[in-house]
Amino acid sequence: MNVLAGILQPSVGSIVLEGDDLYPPAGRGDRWRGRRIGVVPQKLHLLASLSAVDNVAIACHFAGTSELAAAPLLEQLGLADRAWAKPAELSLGEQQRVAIARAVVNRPRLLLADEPTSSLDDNNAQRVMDLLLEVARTARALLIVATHDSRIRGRFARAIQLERPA
Amino acid sequence: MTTLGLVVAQLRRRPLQTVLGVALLALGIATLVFVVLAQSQLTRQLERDARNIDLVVGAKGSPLQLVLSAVYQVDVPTGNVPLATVDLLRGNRLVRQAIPLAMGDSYRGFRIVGTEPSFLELHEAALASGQMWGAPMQAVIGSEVARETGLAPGAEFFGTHGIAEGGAVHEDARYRVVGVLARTESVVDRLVLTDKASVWQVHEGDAADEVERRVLEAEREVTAILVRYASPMGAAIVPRQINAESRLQAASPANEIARLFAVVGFGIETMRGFAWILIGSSLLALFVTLFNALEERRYDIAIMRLVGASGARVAWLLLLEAWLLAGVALALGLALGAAAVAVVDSWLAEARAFSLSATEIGPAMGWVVVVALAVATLAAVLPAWRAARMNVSRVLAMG
Repeated sequence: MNVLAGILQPSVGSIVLEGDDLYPPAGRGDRWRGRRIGVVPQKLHLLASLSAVDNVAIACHFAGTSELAAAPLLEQLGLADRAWAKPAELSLGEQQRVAIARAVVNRPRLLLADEPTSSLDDNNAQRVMDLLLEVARTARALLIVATHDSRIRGRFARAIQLERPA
Repeated sequence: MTTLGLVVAQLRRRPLQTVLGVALLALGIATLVFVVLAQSQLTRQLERDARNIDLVVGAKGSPLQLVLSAVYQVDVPTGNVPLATVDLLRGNRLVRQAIPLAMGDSYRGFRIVGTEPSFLELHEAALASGQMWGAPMQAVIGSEVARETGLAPGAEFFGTHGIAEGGAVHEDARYRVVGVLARTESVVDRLVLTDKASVWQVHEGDAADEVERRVLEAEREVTAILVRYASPMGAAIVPRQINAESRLQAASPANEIARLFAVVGFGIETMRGFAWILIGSSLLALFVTLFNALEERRYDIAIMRLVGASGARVAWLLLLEAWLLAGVALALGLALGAAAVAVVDSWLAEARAFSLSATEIGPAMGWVVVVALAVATLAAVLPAWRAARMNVSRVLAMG
């Protein structure tokens, strides 16, 4: 996932996203990566000092895109009245939606989610998957989810099983 | 959301940890500002009050005491010398000017000095209102005296025996104010000046007959004589001539103030050193604060990197944070230093000695800002470098 996210250079081979090598010899700028790849990490790591809307807005701030997209996106995700709450005041489900908003606010080409359902009950796990598929479709982004969760295996068009080499 | 807003939000999350570093830096800056302001202003006042005075002649005793009492009007006089000494000095061709001072009384803590109009020329003092004294018991007062007592031309007051406040009132020392001097920023501002004959009149009383009057006149004395040389040769010869007289001593203000500074200077240097120790401690405290913050915030930093912030951007944020803290410390330190100067100034005004002003902070401002920013930059440079070099994928440890 780190390699796909553009933050860990592979020792051999290359990653090509829509014709662009993620790791050209000269390197890609952080801003380039921030605009094309959205990541929902397993541990969400929202910035505790910032409100929900600012946690989304930092993705625009550092990628150099318009921060005006943050508030409407939270509204779409049903967090309109929670926009100014700090992460500590949000439920786990709400925090996850903020993290997803942060990952898609720049309309990335590639959306990565790392074990997005591992700490959720059955209902919420399905709801998060609905949300991820929905935002990926809206943003026309490629969604890649890494998971051990058998509850959501049926939700994907393609599944690649990674096994430890014998 | 702005970069500054982001930095402020990060700072507000952990106010207590940052207080120590900021407080130490503020105290260091305050001490430094106070020392620099006090030293430069006192030095300048000491030099200004003694300008044009090459030598002070008075009664035997401590030469420093003679200079402090006759030039700066802050210590008690060493005693009196015969009036004839003035003529003796004026007869010396190496002496250009000899100005007698007769002291011993005061009004509300301000010294009454009996002298001659040339004393005003010496200090380049000019009348702001009224006129010069034309007869004994007429007084011309300094600007500080006028401000503090409210006396104006035409007003009358009684002198008090002794140079401290609270002495016995001379019932027969009724002075009339005839003039007020313009502000000179020198010792003159804090003096009540009158003809030297006033002081004799107050202390002799009325003579019973002609014989007693002559006896009294023959015994007339002055407290000190301010001397200007006619040529540089004077410095080599006049003091020796004076000190040969059994009752007289000559003291050079320049030499005595140099001796005083050799003693006081040690205290000033100690205080200055203390200021730098405080600033050094603040550097250490800020460094520890920022370094710890780095540990605590490594996920925040990793997330910023993940969503598109470069290493340099993250380092810049930490540096900005340190500068913001330095700015707060700077404001606090300057306010504190100015307040300390104001407090000491009020003490000095109470003692009718010297004056300090916090308004002269301007020139010192420039390098105090440099010191504060340098401390912040030094404290932040290693944490910022580590933040820039952070291994994002390891911190996030995905997949």
